[in-house]
Amino acid sequence: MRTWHESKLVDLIDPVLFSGHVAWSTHDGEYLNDLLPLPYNDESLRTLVEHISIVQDTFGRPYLLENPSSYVGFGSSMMTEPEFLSALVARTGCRLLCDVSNVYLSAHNMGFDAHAYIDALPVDAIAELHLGGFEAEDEEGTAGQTVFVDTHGTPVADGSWQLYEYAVSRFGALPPLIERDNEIPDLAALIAESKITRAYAARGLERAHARAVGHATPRSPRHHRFGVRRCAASAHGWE
Amino acid sequence: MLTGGSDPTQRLAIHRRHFHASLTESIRTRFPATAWLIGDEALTHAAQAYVAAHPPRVFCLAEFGHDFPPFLASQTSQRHLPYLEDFATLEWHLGLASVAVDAPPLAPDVLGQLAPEDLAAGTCRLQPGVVYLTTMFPVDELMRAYLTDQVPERFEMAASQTHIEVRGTRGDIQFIRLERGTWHFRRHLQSGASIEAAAEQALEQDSSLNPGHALVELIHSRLLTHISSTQRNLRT
Repeated sequence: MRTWHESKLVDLIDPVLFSGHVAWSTHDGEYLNDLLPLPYNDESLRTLVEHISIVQDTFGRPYLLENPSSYVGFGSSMMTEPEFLSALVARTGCRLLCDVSNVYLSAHNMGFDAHAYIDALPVDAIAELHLGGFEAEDEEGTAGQTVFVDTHGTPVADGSWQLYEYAVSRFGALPPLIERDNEIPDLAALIAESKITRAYAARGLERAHARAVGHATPRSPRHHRFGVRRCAASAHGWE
Repeated sequence: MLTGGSDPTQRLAIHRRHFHASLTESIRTRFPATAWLIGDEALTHAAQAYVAAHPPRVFCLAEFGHDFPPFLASQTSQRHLPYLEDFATLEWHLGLASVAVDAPPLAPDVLGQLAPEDLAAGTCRLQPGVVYLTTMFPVDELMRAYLTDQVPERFEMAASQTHIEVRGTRGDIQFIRLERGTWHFRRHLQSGASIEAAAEQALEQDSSLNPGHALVELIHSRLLTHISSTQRNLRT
């Protein structure tokens, strides 16, 4: 963790939100330029608690931890990913960035229920939502099976949109961001995607409201700006 | 024990693939002029070999590839281009200069604020990101031709030691050829030598150098940001 560089950047930009991934990427002094999976056990928990505490103490602001896209897991894991994330929140006061597409992708790849995953996350800790495209590849050595690979180079899949609507019904109107790292489409396509996001979010809020009738007041919408990372698309404010 | 799919070890290939593809692409995008020189396929092949042999040991991806030029030149398929390493090295530094930010330069009247003896003993700070290169071939000519899209049908390059200064200001990249003495003077100043010591070392390389003119030229080039002497510190 190179906190000097990040501290200079944070001081310069003063970001509204500041996040990282639950992953590792270095070994023996080499930087592997990928987000590699962690076993969800006590050792990993202690390590991440230590690192998150250093980050939050250094920058004086909450750090958002983002769920990864998963292709492999570990037999040594003693808890589910939502349980692991919840423990991080409880022990450090950090917040969470829910990458909804990663939940959808990982649920397919690892065989868990995506809605149950969303239900298991601590609602009050969620501060931001991400969406992104993935590509389906044939699973090696398994005829007829596919694995979803997080590429950020395709439009958001229908399943991700529907899960996003569900996430909004659970978490409320949080700032969403669609990740595009390559094959970036023209501005019109990005604006169209922004409108789709609003539509699904509106439906999610309607679901939340319908569920809340006769129960506690649902979380109110907030004013946020919607943006697309690594793209020249315009940002929208939405209510 | 891994989990995931019928054979989770197969899925590790997804991570391996991203490691190789993303780092190869990082090298490819840092050296577009070199790709033009030797061909996309050759550059990609060399980048793949470089990533496998020298994975990043720097946390900032923008710093990965600083030793790609000598690696590239050592490839058997590229040994017919003796100027390749120089050309790629120049390109590497142009890339760094493209994100440099100038500091406010010292005003031209700064020299009058120091007594001669203080000036001689003074040390200087030059603009951040300025780099002084010596190449065995005049690759700056070829680079300029590439950048201005004015490459002739035929280009011959004879070996000739060339002294180049590279600097950048918020995306405005400049690279100029310097006289030997001027180059040495500026490089020694940048390395922390006093003005007097830098002048002496430069004169050893080029007795025709006029250190006074060289210092004035340095200031008028807006390269000087700070002069420190035992008596005073001059900065903007």
